[in-house]
Amino acid sequence: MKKKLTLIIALVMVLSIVLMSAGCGKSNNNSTSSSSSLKGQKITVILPQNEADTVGFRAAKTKEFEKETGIQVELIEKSWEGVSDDVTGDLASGGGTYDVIEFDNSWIAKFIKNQWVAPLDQYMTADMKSGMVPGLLDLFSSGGKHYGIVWNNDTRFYMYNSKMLADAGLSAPPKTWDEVAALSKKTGKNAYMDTYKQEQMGTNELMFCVYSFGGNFVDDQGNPIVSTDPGVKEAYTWLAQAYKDGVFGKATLTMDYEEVAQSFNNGDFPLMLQAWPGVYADSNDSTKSKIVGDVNVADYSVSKTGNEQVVLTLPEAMAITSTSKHKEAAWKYIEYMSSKSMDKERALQIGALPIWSSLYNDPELLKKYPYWEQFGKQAQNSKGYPKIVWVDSFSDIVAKESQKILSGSVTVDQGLNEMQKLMLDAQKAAAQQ
Amino acid sequence: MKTKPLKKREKEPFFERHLGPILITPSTLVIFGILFIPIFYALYMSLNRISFRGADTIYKFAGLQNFINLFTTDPWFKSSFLVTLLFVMLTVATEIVIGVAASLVLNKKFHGRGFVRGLMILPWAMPTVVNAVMWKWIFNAEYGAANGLLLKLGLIKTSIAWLGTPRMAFFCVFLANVWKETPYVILLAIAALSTIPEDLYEAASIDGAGGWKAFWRITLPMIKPVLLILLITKTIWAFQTFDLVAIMTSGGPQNATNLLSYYIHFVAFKQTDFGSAAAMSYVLSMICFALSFVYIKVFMNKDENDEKKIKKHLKKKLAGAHEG
Amino acid sequence: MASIQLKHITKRYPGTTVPAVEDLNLSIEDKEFIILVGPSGCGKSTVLRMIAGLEEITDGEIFIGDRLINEVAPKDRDIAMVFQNYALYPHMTVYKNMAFSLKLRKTPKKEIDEKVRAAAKILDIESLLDRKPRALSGGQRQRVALGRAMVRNPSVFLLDEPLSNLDAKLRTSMRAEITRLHERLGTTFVYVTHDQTEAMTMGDRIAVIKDGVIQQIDTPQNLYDHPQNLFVGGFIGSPQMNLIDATVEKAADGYCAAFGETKIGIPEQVMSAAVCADYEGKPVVLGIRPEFISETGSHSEEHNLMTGDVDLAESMGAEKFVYFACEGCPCIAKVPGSSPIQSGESVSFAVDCTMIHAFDKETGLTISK
Repeated sequence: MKKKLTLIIALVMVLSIVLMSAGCGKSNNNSTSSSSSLKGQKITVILPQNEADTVGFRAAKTKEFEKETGIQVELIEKSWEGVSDDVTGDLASGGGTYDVIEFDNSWIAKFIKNQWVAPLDQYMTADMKSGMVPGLLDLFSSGGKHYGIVWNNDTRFYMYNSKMLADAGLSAPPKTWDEVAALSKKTGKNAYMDTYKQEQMGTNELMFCVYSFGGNFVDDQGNPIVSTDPGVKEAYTWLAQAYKDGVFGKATLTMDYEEVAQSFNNGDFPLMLQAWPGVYADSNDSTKSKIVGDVNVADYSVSKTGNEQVVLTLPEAMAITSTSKHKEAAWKYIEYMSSKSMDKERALQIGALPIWSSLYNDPELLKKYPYWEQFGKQAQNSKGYPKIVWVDSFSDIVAKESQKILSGSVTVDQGLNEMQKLMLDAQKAAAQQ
Repeated sequence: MKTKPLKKREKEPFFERHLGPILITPSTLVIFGILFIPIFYALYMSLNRISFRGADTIYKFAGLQNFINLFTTDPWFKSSFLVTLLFVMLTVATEIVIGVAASLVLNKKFHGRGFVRGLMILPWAMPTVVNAVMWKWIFNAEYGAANGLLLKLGLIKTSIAWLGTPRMAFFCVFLANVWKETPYVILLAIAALSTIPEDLYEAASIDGAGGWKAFWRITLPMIKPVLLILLITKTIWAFQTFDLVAIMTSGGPQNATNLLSYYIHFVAFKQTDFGSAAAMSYVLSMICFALSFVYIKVFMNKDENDEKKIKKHLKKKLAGAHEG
Repeated sequence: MASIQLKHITKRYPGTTVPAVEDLNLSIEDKEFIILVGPSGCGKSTVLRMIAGLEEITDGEIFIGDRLINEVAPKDRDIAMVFQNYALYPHMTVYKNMAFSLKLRKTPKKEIDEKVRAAAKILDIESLLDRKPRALSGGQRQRVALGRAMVRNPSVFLLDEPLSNLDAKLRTSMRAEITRLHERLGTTFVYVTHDQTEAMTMGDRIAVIKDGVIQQIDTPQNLYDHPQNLFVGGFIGSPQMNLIDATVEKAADGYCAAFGETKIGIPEQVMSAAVCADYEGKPVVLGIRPEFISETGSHSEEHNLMTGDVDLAESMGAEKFVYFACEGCPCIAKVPGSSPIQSGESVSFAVDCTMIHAFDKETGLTISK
């Protein structure tokens, strides 16, 4: 009896395993298909929700795409964290679930090294290569190949509350970090709030500070230079002192972007050093803001002397997985969603920054968004994450160790030396993988 | 005559004869699929260095290197491990003490008891994520309810960055966890208390055990089996705490709330170092396993001993009867 | 030394208007075995629990010996109690159950051991000392409960329906055992039961309680022979006394109780002529115990006959209970087991009229001697 039972169980198990593998094998075969037979193909797209997209722009356009091409699209929209987990989990276990994926600027080196994304050069038109903002194209390139088309040109800009500044006796927003500190000293209140949280977003903002002091965490070859770079030290020295003096709120160590923006629109502090375009729109929406009409965009961004100006750019792109069986259909979707006309429409509808260079001079858009002129001035030098495979460890180390320095539990030198050591370890570990 | 029923049994249709095995096969398969395969797969992963090339996953056998790395080169594992241990001990102890105390009160008859009992369950019925988001807002440094209340009451003069300093953040996460998980202790403890007959306490009061003595000598031993279950499940759940720190603190500040399950998630899905993550998961599981084992040994020991004594006694008696 | 005095005891539970016990007076002598008996809900357990200190006393005073114990904690009353459900501590062994109270009093270990083993020996549970209550039978548990009470060497034993959870046979033997235990220990026993057989067989005296009021306190025999009222008459004795509505009438040679065509003579030794004259023509309740109704064979008088159709004849072996209707009134007769009476027969029974009782219809009080 017992033997029989084990036999039955074993049999069922073997059967199910065979069936499963057969199912997997089957789907591997139909990877090539001509463009004429794209109709009826089904692709799965996974992208984070776009906070600015309150009108359902992406979903509506996806529907239109389905109608026009006959390609079925399963559009999955989630939080960025959720998308990150799903995409990484799926690709690490062999992929096959998604065709078009979110391709974050911080994932570039890792995804390309793991060969999780397919090069797009064979599909891209000359128009695209020449017409899209070069910085955005270059960022998602490696070894001369393009891997992603940006859907969210997430570049940050210096905004300020002109009324609060006027109250403090300032006619123009502070241009240097010292002026920021002076403002706080003058008013006795926080000059700005930001997120230096122990998370990637915290690293974003710390990177901005370091860049604007002319510093760099890693050199051009991707080697950590934290302990030797003078800009890094100056930045952290300023930050630690500023934390002590209350130049920025202590809550900055815990707040996230959403909270910072709400607080800014609540009129709690005058400077938002690196705001995304949507903040401007929200601040003039009386249902969300107490500072309607008070927000302005500066011509410059805060830096050490005024010469090191830089803004953060953290764009997100769409990419095609190397395991996709419907690459052409997937490309059709990307092409459709990032065409120049679609880009303009998106800008008009939800205020997204265009990815096509010429649209920044589009009179219709400039009429609607006059402050893009200032954006353009600030955006002359934009910078994001270093292109290193161990970027996640990098981000983690910066976020964690910076908190120690800021809160004064270690000195600036101690903290930076520790950061350097940890980064070297992470770099080594990544090289072994 | 004797063989007849047997023959009849053999003639039963296949389905009826094998009903037992047929019924348990699906669940056995499911258990095998969702339990054993992942367990062994994780073990395999933990012994390998894992990298990716497109659709392929490349396993390079690394022996125990992943485990050794945790304790040598990994920059955060040790601190994360210690924080987790502290978190587990504090939350489990607090939840059980408060939970049992509250259940003692709720076990007394008073007006509106049903309502209060219902109310007590609410936090537990709330999804973890909702709970975490709620506490994050309460402890918001700028416009959180905690600061608002304390400022209004005049107890503090300036806002406190609750989640901004390591100790405070740890305390806040601890508080949120206790708030959420204690009702479960209350629920089970009330159920256990209600099975204790009133006359035991009456007998005890005549025997000279009232109040505290009755609690230590009657109540506690009587609800011990339930407490044991609580202790085991609570410990395992506490080790698995993820949502709270993911939403409230992201493990910060300064790693003060970087609980192991959250760190494992980071290593697996951000650093894509699945080998190390699997190794950490294994360490975590083994700790849970070992702790459960210890709990059972410590708390159930006495009973077992008693049972053994009885068996011994019976044997003696039987032997005596034989001799007689 | 351990007499118990209950003086004007009243117990009123919060939220109720009718008191559970009202102005109860009871004097229990030292070393007496007293039984509190009554139907369920009559307040007998409440009285016991007030003596134990498990219930607060609303009004009145309780003395044990000459000490007022109203405010004394249960453990300091020098009492022990045996509960209906035994109330053994399930997580302790028999030994620990018995030793518990001594341990709490910090009695030396050696002394505890001696006392526990001595009690176990008396109760014949020495072999069970290592077991836990759940491994014991009902009878064994009862012994352990008794043992737990015994080791404390209390001056008063309180027993709350201790036998009601046992099967009939065990109950009979435990009954005898508890009686023997009482003799052996020589302490005061207060025993609560709803079972009149236990009451009759065990107690020195019985207090019959109804609605929180003591109806009668007396020795078992006196209660049987001279119930003071209708309730006691009906409650004591098994099968129950036949209670028949009747009228006192004048007969040829004195008085008789008449119902329908049936007339039962009332001899002088039951009720004096003067009393009978008072009640002439008035309704009374006639009480006839089944054992005094017999087959006509032995009494061939015309008088004092009860006739009717037999509903049921229950044979108990040595005796037979005959259920019959006489003048529409259901009655029971207890006849020898050898009697040939069958269900459905029409029979006439003779009543031993010297053993009848009569009660006032309105007050329920006995009017017979």
